[in-house]
Amino acid sequence: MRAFRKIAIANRGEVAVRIINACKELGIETVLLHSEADKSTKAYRAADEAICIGPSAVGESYLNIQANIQGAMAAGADAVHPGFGFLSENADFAEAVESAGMTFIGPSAESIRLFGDKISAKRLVQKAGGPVIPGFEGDDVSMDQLIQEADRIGYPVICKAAAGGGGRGLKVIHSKDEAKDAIEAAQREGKNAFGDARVFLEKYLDRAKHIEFQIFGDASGQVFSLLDRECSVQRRHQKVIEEALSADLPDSLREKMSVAAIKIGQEAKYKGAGTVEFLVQDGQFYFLEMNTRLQVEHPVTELVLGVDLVKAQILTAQDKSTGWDSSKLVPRGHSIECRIYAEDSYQNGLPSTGPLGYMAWPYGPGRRFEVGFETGDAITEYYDSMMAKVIVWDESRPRAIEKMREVLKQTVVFGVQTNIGYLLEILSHEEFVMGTMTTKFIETYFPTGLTKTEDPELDELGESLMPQVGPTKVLNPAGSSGPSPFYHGWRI
Amino acid sequence: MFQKIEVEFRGQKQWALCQKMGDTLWVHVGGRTYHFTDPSKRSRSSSKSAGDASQILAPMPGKIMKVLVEAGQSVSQGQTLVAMEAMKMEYNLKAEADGEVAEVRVRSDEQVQKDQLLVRLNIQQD
Repeated sequence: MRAFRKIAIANRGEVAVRIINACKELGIETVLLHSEADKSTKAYRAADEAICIGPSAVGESYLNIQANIQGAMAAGADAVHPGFGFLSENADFAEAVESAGMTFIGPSAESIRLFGDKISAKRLVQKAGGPVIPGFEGDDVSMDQLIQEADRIGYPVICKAAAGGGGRGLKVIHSKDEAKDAIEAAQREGKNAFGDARVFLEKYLDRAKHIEFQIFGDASGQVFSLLDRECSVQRRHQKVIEEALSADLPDSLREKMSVAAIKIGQEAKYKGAGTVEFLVQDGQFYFLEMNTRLQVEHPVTELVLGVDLVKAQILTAQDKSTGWDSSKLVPRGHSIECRIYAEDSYQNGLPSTGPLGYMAWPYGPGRRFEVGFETGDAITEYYDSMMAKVIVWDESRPRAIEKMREVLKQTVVFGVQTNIGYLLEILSHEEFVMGTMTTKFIETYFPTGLTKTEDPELDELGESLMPQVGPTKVLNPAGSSGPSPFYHGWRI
Repeated sequence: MFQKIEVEFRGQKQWALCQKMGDTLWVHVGGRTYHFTDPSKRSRSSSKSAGDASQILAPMPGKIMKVLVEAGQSVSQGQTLVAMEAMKMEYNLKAEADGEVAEVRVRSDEQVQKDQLLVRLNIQQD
């Protein structure tokens, strides 16, 4: 059995804060490996220590394996938690961490490699008898051949980067005219985000629900199914609203999918937290991909089952027991997560950057806020625009929706535009309320985000308030509050 | 921090939370957040007038992934001119009207600033 004294966090934003808090509860020290741009963030202030591993551009910091290893080593970390995104699903990184004598908090490099390559993952699931989406995959394929195969599959076809994930490197092709542009774009995104330009094709299921199963392989080798989450509300293949359990999934199908997810985990001798994503259409389910990391939407599972997945990851990495008893992992109530993006919803989600002013996150029973920034911090253009997550729990789905609406109305973010207004529109949409939404939901009902309408009363309000409000000097929270009395770290 | 001002809005007397940051006034009222730009200072921002389809500007800072057109080329409305990447997503900047490419001001892999001129078009007048 291993015992961690210090964990390095190779990530940023709200997930870094989440991991730091889990470490603190377990009595483990933390060191944040951050970029130059992220000195003024909540995680920087929350960690015991912080080491700047490089410039703001992700390629030179968060995606730089050597810089992360050197930072973790310099801090004397026993283990590295990669969070999600960045290097979390990079097998070379997992290997580098282990060969530097530290523990990678996640599955083995072998599992990451197996599932990280979407083509080999699909082949494994096929071998294990799991249902996969019909399509085409091949090595060293020419553009002409890809277009030919897209024709054969029949449009709409989805082109995916083999190394893709998190919605990047995905392009839907509606007709032959679009094929070349879309395939090239997927290749470019794959190359830029993951350093791998290989792509494959699948039939695009155009009225499917996105339903995923959280699995967890504990230190003894048992694979748990922590049931399902529904993430059908997606824009450009990035999830916007997630919930647990799924809105409209018959128990008989849930049971079958749960068994299939466990089988895939067992087949791969999977250790730690993983997510098996499926598409469900016309009562059939198809394997989409397996994510070998903590998911952004893990809190909804935590709230309905009463578990802590990050602590479970850290305990498992030390060969310790999670303390779970599968007979007691019974879901109760309903949980919903809304991702708060810093963006202009009136300009199709164009990211919004700048310093943050006043913010209010209205705490209360069954309300959880995962936030990476405080007043005075800035949202920069270097990283993903997700700045926070709002998660609620209540006894039923309708009540959880009601609660989320109220919580979002009380949530205030000044300084950057957010998608909160957009989320409120979605939460009131009949199809969402019914729970029958598919992955086409946003494309169908909100194709370009929100549309500005004439609102003379609002213009008047702005005009009358403008002269009444004086200028504010925004204080940097790091400067204004100073380190806590318990601060004992060092910063370079 | 913020100012709390009583307003009459949507037929209701209520509190508005207000904060001015630079030239922008942020207001939270009736469960929604709005922002307003001081009209007296608006002229300082981009020189592009609303609806000017002849100038393709970078909507935000980022990196040019690919330039798909060259000077002299005819383009039609909706055609992708430049692909750029910002905050890890790729955005296609498209022609808002039919026309001819007058000038291309950027190259692949170039870093661009918000509102930087990327492509100039001669818009076809009907």
